[in-house]
Amino acid sequence: MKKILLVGNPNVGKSVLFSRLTGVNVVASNYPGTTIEFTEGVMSGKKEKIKLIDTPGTYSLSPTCSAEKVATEMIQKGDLIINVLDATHLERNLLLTLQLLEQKKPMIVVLNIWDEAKHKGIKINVKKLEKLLGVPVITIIALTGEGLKKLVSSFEKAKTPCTKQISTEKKWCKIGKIIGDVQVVTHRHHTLKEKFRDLTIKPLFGITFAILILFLVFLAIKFVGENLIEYFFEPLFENLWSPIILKLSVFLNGEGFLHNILIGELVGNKIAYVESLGLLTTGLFVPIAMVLPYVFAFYVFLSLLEDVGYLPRLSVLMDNIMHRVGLHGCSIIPMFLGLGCNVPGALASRILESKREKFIAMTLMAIAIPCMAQTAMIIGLIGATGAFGIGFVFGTLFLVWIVLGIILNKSIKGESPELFMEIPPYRIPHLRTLFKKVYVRIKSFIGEALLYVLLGILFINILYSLGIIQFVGKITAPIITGILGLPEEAVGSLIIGFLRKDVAIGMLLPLGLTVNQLIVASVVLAMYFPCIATFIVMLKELGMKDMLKSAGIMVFSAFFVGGVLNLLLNTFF
Amino acid sequence: MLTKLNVMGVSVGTKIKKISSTSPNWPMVFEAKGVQVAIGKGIAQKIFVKI
Repeated sequence: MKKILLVGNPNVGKSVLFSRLTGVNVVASNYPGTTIEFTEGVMSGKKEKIKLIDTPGTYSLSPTCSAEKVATEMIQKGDLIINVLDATHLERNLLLTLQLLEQKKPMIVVLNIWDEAKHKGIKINVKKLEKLLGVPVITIIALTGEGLKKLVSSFEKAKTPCTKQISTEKKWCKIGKIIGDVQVVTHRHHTLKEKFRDLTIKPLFGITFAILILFLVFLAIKFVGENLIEYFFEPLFENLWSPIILKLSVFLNGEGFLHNILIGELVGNKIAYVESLGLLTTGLFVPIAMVLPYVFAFYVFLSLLEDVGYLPRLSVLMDNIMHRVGLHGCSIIPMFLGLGCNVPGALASRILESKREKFIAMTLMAIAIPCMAQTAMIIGLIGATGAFGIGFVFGTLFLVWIVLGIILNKSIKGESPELFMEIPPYRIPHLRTLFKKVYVRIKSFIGEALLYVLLGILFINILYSLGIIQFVGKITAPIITGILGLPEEAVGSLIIGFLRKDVAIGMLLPLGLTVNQLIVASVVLAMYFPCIATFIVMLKELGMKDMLKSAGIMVFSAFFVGGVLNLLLNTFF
Repeated sequence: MLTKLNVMGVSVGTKIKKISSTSPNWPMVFEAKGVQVAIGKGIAQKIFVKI
């Protein structure tokens, strides 16, 4: 099968074009570094099927981070290169184009974001550019699909350029001549959007605006999540699912091993969805009715911030703080993604340059950034006792993030690199792309969460029936009861937390814990170890040695902080 | 850092427009060839002779 590569600078619309041509849903955002691994998809050509490969963005063929390395390594494997350029920044994009022409592979140049170039008063003579580069040049608007037919039909017209190798300095001179020949920019004044763009990056206004935006996003997520649960998911389970489960319970005679596995224990002949620990009750209710509404709301607002182009601005505003914990501003992106799910968060840390930064970022995220599933359960469980508990849990995690970050920064050799980030313009989000992205993320959440929740519940039921939980509870009593002040049964939560943190927190409900105990248990569960999915990604990214180091820090800090919290809460509250 | 700036078309003599850089340790944001770029203040002080 013929292999076609999409290659270009970061944030020029390669992933949107890939998604349009193959129908494969990939996450595309308005900031550089969204794609950190190559993605393959199949599309129909005129005569045969074609394999299309979306590569991470790179500014040149000399990679500066692992994501760029993936792109440059892929170039030799392609039969045809589609070089995607941002028509609004032609000059900067042309360096990579000239480097690609030297590779002597059949190539097509695509000028994307053609509509925005017109709005900005940029006129490009496509015919002249085609002649100067020696390969076909096609103009497209990937978001709306304009020009894609012409692009597909031009695959056969791709030409192998015959360009001599020249130095980077000479390439810039050549680019200067090309721009002079093909591009005319009409002078115009700054628009309101551009004035706002400059303002939101200035310290005083920028930080005030960021606090306001983040607070509004938090309120909106809470509002959407709570209302979806109250008016849609809870009635759905109560009115439609409960009668079916009750009939099944009667069919199974209301007891026995199979009843315990499938439905769990009934409370007063009613289904207690969080407490019963059955596959068809808790196993479905927790991920779908308690967690999914918040995850959905979070991803809608995250996607909105991504597509508007706000996250890179947040990176600049946070750079000063991030340096204190051994990172730079760009690290806020993995942290932000980690708030949804730690897995994409850990993967996104590939945009960080050094091994040291990746270690600090992943360790801090695994310890002090709870995923949205976990956050939803903490809000659901502790929220019932008032705002104090929730504030205490998240306040503690934030403090741990800062203090541990400072300790890691001081104790690990090396320096945090300086920030270097291209800031994209503000763009009005394209609704179809936005909801496609939410759909991809929700689908991935459901696929992963349902499997691990069901596995976790099955596993814990088997451990209970074999008496293993009770046995481990007795062995670990000096730590669980002595240091953390929790009952022995809480060890079940810690075991299951390795599979799914949300179920682990749900398992605390039947234990009848006090508010202080709930706070300690939630903080320890958030910190002590990542869930299995995050663990696998961290192991792959960090390697065994660094993963063991990171795990050691997690376990020690979780029990240390849990012990201190237990002491403080029982002394002062 | 210099290589990164180079591949974005910023080299000795390139005209840039400063967007934001007011407090110490704050990243510097500048516009060059229509693109806004943020770089750490430390390196910005070493690179740019005239700001």
